[in-house]
Amino acid sequence: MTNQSLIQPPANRHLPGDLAVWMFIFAELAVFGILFIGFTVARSLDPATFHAGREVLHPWVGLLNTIALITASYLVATAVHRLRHREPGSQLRLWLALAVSSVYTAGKLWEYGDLYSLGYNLGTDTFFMFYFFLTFFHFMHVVLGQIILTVLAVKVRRGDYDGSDMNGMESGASYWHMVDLVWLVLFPMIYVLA
Amino acid sequence: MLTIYLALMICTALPVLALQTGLGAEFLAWLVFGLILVKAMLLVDHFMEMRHAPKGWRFAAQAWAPVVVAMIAGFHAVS
Repeated sequence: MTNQSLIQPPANRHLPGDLAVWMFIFAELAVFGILFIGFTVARSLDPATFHAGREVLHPWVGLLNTIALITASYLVATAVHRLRHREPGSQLRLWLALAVSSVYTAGKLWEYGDLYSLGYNLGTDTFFMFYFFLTFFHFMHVVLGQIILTVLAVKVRRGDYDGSDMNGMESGASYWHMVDLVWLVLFPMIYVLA
Repeated sequence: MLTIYLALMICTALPVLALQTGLGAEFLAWLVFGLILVKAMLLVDHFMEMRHAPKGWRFAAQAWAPVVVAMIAGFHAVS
């Protein structure tokens, strides 16, 4: 095996999705990164409040939400693969991803309702200010991702995507994976580390 | 792809299970930091398909999680 066969030629490399979408993704990642660092700084200044706040949360709901988002990401990734190779099942996987991700939205809404009924809100303390702000900001991204998944599934059903031009599909999928990537940091930071 | 999915699932469940078993907080924190990095790498390279992207873009996407985790871990170590 030569070195040439180990290194992929630059000509074969391509960004999955539209350049503008990737600029948007990096901007979003930067915003979330700054918020995460803010959370960490606040936690280092008042660890007792953050520890007490975490005790009120439901780590199993957080775990269920994580499983739902990772499963949805897996389904989206396989949907892209199937469409690219013109195999059937891409549309079904997108609808399944939407259904599975709804577990996250339902779980998050239940947790918000439960915490609110117990008297916790944005003004309770620093931990809950960060908890509600960060998780709701992420929640809105998940909802936008679900709208994008719906549009992709409808377009696949109508035959707008036939595997010859993957730009739209890859752009939508990349956005969805970004939402998942953010949650992979957000979940342990709030539910475990805090 | 299924292997990556299963690896992500295991990495996700580990910190929560470790939390339930009452492991030391310090060990748990570093376990979480390590697992976040592993999960982010798997997701970016395989689900996002950045392993086929131009090197600069791939590096930028891969670097996000390590930079954020390094900042979080830094503050954690200091406090």
